[in-house]
Amino acid sequence: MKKLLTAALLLLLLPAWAHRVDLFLAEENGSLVVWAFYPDGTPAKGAKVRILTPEGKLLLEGTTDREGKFTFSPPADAGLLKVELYAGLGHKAETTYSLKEERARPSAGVLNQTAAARPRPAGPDWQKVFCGLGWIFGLFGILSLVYGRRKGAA
Amino acid sequence: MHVSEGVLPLWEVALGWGLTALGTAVGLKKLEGEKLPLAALLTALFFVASLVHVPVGVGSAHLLFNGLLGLLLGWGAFPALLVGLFLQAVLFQFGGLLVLGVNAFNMALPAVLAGRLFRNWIKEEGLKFYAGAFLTAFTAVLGSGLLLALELALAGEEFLTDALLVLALHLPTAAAEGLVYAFLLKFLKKNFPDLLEENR
Repeated sequence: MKKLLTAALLLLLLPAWAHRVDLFLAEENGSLVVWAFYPDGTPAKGAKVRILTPEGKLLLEGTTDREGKFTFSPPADAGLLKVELYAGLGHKAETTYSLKEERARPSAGVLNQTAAARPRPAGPDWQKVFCGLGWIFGLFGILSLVYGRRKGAA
Repeated sequence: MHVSEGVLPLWEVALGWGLTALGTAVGLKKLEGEKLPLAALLTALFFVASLVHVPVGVGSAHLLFNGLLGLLLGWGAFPALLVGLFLQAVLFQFGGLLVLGVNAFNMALPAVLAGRLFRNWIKEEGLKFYAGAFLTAFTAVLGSGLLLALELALAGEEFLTDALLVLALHLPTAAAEGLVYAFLLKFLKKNFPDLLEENR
């Protein structure tokens, strides 16, 4: 029984969390790299990528590889690109990428920058967790006030 | 398990809100009185549980604990899950605000059903108790996943592929939850037996 309990606790404490998918883009040797992750840093493998014009015309599509990457050559005249990523089971992310703006930046074309921005498996943001817990107890506290008042009035 | 914004068609989003509103209205009535502090506690548990991930080969799936809410709160699981999911959407960008209705419905309905089906088993001892604890977890978690697969199928996806993915991702989660439920419910039965009583 004790062993089971320990196993259950261990299972609870494993540091991995996700359920959202994040999308990054960078230019590398004239190609654009789309990189998709879950917030715990796991790459989103085999996710469908669609590259569209801002008007919604499909330019090309593909799937991410084992590292969660999809590389493509952007059309020469492309200005703004809309990128949609679908990681299955209702997980979707989209972003826009402006080739012109990104190229004008001093750090243009350095994929490492994106790698640095990649979310590390740091686990949940505890401040937000506590903030949420506070809201929950606050809301139910208000609800109990409302119920109490009604009972008092009746 | 949390559907992102812009995946489901508008009618499903609207229908999700409608059904969630109904469930929440019923649930709020049932919560009046002594169940309220328990509901707050379980909402907090749910809110945190979704941050805990069970790593599975194909990806990772998180704990839900919706079955426990259905078991102990009955219809009260609707408002509780709605609050929990709202905060997850706002703070962690899980799901989204528009699809909140669908997400709440997906997690609450199977939870309420699981509670209805297995509450009496939980009250028994021995094998039936354990079976009840595990089946509550499985029904609630897999039921949510299959509802999602069904909705995605109505939005044009292949049902079988999604359903299989749901099973692959969530069977381990459901098993882990079943284990936790067994311990937790054993403790509750011993120390707070009235929590398992009446909650229609």
